[in-house]
Amino acid sequence: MKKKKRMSPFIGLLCAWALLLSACASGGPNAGQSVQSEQTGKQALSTASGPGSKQGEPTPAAPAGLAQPLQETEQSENLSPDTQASETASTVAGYPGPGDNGPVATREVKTGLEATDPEKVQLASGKPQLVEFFAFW
Amino acid sequence: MHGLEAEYSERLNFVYLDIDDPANDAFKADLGFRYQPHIFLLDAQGNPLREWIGPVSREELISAFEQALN
Repeated sequence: MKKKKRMSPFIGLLCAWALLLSACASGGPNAGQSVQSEQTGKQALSTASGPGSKQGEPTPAAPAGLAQPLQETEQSENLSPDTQASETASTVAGYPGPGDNGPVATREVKTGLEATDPEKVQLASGKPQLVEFFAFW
Repeated sequence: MHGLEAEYSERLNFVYLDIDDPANDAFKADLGFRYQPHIFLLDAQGNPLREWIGPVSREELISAFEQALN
């Protein structure tokens, strides 16, 4: 009876160790991914918390930040290379590059006050003329 | 004014002179500028046909334009 009582803590420890091992083993190839997503979650948490906040202290927005990186990695994994390429192309097409001039105006439309160059003004211009004296103030 | 300019720019010259620009002092003296906004409608030789001081309606300007062009 005394021997059994001495052995029981060891048996308990062994069981706990076996459970821990089985839990690690059942993770299999995905075990690395969960660790990775946890790390990216930690990065998101550290970027979400401001410079004044203490590290490791979660902000109210932190749970959403934790969930987001994992979703992104899952989405990018599910997309085929073709869809990824087309998505990138549409993003590039959506925003004009620095070399693009955009639409070209075909007719000059004046929207504000613009003074005429006095050197180009002739009162006797050969056709009727409207002269407006104005001030910018 | 800009709407009318788009409509009449081929038959009428539109000139906008800044009263604070010293280069326009000669025009102010020639036409007898008093205070802004002061608008003059001139004939082809530069003689004043009509003038308006202060706000003027679009209809009134169109009427004066048509008289000057006919």
